[in-house]
Amino acid sequence: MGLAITLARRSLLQRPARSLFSILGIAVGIATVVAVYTLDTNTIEGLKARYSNQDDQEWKPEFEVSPSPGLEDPHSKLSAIEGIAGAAVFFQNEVELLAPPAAPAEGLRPAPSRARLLAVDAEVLPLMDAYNLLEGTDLQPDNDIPEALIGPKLAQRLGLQPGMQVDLSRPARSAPRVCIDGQMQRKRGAQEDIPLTLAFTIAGILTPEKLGRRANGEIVVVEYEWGDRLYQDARTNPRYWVQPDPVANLEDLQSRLAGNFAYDMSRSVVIGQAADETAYRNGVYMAGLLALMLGLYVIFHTLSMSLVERIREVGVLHALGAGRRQVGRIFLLEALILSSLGGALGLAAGVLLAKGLLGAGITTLGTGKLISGFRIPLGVLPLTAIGVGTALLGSVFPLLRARGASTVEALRGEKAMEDQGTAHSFHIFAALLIAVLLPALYFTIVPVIGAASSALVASLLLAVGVLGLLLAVPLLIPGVLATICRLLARPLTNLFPFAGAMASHTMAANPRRIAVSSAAIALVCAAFVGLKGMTASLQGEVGDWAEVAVQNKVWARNLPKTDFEELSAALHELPEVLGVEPGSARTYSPFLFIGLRSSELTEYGPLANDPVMREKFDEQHGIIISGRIANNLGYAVGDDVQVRTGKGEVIGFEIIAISDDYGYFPHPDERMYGVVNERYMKKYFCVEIESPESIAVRMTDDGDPDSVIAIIRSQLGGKNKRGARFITGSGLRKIQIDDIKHDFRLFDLILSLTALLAALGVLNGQLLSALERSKELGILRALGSSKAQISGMVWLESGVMGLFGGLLGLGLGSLLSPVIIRALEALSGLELPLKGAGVWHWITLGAAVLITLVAGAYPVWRMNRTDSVRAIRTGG
Amino acid sequence: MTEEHNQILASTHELYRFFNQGDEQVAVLKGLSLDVHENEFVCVMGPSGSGKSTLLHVLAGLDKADAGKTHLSGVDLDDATERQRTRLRRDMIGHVFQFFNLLPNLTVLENVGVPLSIKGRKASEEAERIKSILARLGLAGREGAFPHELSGGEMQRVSIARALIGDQPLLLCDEPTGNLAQQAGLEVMQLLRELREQDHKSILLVTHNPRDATFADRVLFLVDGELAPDIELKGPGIPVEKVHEILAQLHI
Repeated sequence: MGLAITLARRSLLQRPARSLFSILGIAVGIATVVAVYTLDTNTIEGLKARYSNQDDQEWKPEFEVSPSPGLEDPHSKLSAIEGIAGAAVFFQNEVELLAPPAAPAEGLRPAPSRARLLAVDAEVLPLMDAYNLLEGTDLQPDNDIPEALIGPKLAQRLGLQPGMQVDLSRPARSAPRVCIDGQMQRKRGAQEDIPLTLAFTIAGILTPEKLGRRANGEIVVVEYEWGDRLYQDARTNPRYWVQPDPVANLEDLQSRLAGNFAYDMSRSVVIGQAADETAYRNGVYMAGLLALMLGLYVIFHTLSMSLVERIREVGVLHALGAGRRQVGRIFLLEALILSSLGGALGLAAGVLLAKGLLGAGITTLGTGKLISGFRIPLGVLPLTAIGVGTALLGSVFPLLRARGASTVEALRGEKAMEDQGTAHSFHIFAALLIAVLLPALYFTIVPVIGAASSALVASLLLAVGVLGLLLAVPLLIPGVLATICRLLARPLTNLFPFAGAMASHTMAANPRRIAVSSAAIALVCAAFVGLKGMTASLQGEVGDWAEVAVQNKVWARNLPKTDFEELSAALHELPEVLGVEPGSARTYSPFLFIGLRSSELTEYGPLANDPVMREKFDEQHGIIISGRIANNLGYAVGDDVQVRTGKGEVIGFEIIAISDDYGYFPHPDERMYGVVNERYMKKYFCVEIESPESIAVRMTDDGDPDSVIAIIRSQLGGKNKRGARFITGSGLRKIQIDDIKHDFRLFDLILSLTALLAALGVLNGQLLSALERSKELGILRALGSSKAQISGMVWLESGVMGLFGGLLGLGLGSLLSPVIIRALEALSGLELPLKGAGVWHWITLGAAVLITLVAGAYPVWRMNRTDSVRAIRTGG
Repeated sequence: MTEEHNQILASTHELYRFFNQGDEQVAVLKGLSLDVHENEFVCVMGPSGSGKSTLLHVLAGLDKADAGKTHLSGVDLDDATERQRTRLRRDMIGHVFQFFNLLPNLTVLENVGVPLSIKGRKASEEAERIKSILARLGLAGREGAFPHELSGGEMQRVSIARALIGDQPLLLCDEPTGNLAQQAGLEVMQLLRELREQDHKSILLVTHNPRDATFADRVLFLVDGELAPDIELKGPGIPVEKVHEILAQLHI
């Protein structure tokens, strides 16, 4: 081991640049995935914690579902819905609890305590993670003996412990009374209500969290059947807690539930689960994977080339009596040191990067979200291990080849590794490792977010396929790629005859290195072009939506208490005002409902000139839903939306139109909503629009927003102490489009890291090539070539690789863009127009050339520092 | 063979080795038979491409002959496993190469210690022994230098020190002066002779330099893959003119 350690240490220290760039390559790849994973984990957990805190941490199920009236056998129907892991029937009501007195007094019955009764299906309850036990055991489903779990406060107040018995009964109803001779008296013949009392054994005591917080800890949880017996002669309102399947798409589930059930969804559950959010998050994860793959791809080739360079060393060690295992150990140790250092650096840098991004408000759900708290998820360790392990595996293969290399050829200085068979099998091995094994391992740790829909699977397969293709290209046609590079270099050869001729010769002699470097550049360029095309499409989608929902509108918020009728009347005095939409009548049931006055909606949108639709909107529970909710939840005109009212009743609304004309408000920015007549909001949810805090004013095309703002200000007059705030449609449109640019900065950052990796690949390749050719360079210098000519040779080669890689990437990216956009469309439920990357094509091409030229700078510097005499004498 | 020569240490019998050159198969060794005895200095002379280095590679177990037998220390190398050949090479052979083949990242001291490390011994614990060998070879004070800081002669002496450190009985020397200046080459050859005289090493030297041959106990001539029959010079102290004469006679 001593020799292995000495050789590895010396090799790393004597070649600091190669060591540094190799470590950097591994580190950047690992840092990117670690950062992405840490960022996403903290984003989701941070936002969930924020909502949990808002809910005062009382436990809520992910879905609470109420069947529509008259629905037969709701439990079976619920169980048949795809995407549900379990559904627990439950009801809540009051209960009287009589605990055995410590020292019962003769003839005196102690007064019962009131508590909240929760009767729930105990078999499914553990799925919900609804409570923890302070002491005792869980409820046993189908138990013949009635058992109860007791809230902590109740247990403390009454001194209850597991194993004790308590009597439970529903509270007795008072007997009907009538007024007789001015006095309320029991109705004749009316019997006294004597509820059933059952003795329950206390199975356990709840901790003061989750369900243990409900009713301030004064709660009794029993098996549904026993609760039902307690209320056998009284009406209960059974509902269901629904636990979705972890891999289910929540929007699909909502859509499936909506037919027969009204539901409330915990807001913390949906964080990051909306279709556009899952698309974005999966995209970020894919970009991270891309960086990791590219990093390892580059490192494989660096290690492989490094071994070629050191093949004579292998031969000497064999000649000196080192066994193949000993030689293997030497190179394995070196690879282990490189990968471990790269892994550790990548892990630290990734965590710091994630922390920095979160601090700057950049999350995996877009920008501008401030997340408090930071934790390092454990998942970063296996992710780092995958990176380190793959880098090691990548080095093992050339290592095996080195072990098997001909010692005689090695001693003669021949490149035993360069034979065609070795290179082919290495590329096949690398392709399998990076394009198949690595993604498979990656996705076991970083699960695909949302349902494994065909669109998602297709886009993943596509991404992996493209990467595989990119890896296969150098494998299959390195000579073709090198020939193309030489053709590209030809015009420059006329300008720089010596540098051009030498670069051309080098490219012909090293087709695989040229092909690998060009492929890495192409991969990054294709990703950039694809990303920019995707961004342009998303911006186009916002533009299309804004044409309908935002254009010609003015929003006012933070309004003081003002009479809506008066404000609206004043605004309608302006001829360009078509309608005024109040923004205050809103509730979530199951999604955002906004109440609008139909008389304000007759001049624009679907209700204009359609009295039949207006009739449905006003009188027949008609609802107009936004385009995004229709897309995401799969609603169509004529479908019913089941809504649970404030009283717990379930009411159906019929979808009469799908339109974004009405109801959009920028605060909060919510594009998934439905608009109903204001009177339903008042009737079912007790929210009114008499004095809205925000309004939207729709104008004609030639409307002047300033006139509208002036009218509103004059109406508010002296009441405007809070400072009403205004925003115009054109201003809002710009903000929305800028938001997309900001949101995609994370992708820009990740792809910049991949560009850095590609540059490192080019740099490493050029550097190793320069070191390998030091004797040739010494001879050239001895023959009188200038440093500028040598530099020109390297830079010409680099520039041509950048140009070719860039062009290849542009072509690939342009071909892939429509496919990516269609996949994103299927994933997000957005209607995306096909847009190209535009000017980004040229910027990407220019950047590719620039990056490779910069990457060539260090090898140029090293080559110019080569001692010609020594190079000629020793070849080193 | 003189009376002080003992048993055969290495031998080849009817050795054939072919290489492919394009579509053609070229015989580099054609039925070569050779014995190297204990404490004997044998020189094989021949022009470039005559198969000299191939002979050394086969004897070292680095290469396998296509036909014939090779024995090293009584072991049939053709029947030996890869592991056995490696062990024999480690224990029996010291290599001296034309291009020195020092490991570029290691210092002189570390390079010389490599064979010890390969044997699983701690080179650091034998630093004094390494230093004494280096001092004997005129390299005192150069222990910390890297190969690129040495002259050609110094590098070759380091290479010889590396061949000596493991106490292997047989030195295989492949054109050890081929890359050295006249004086440096002479010093290296004197050193090899000294090793034969004082350390009782067996040496198989392949070279095309007539002067080097004069240091050997026995000189053989390799022509087109075969040893010239019945032509053998006995030394030491063979006049260089005699070597030239035979070379001319053989049109080498």
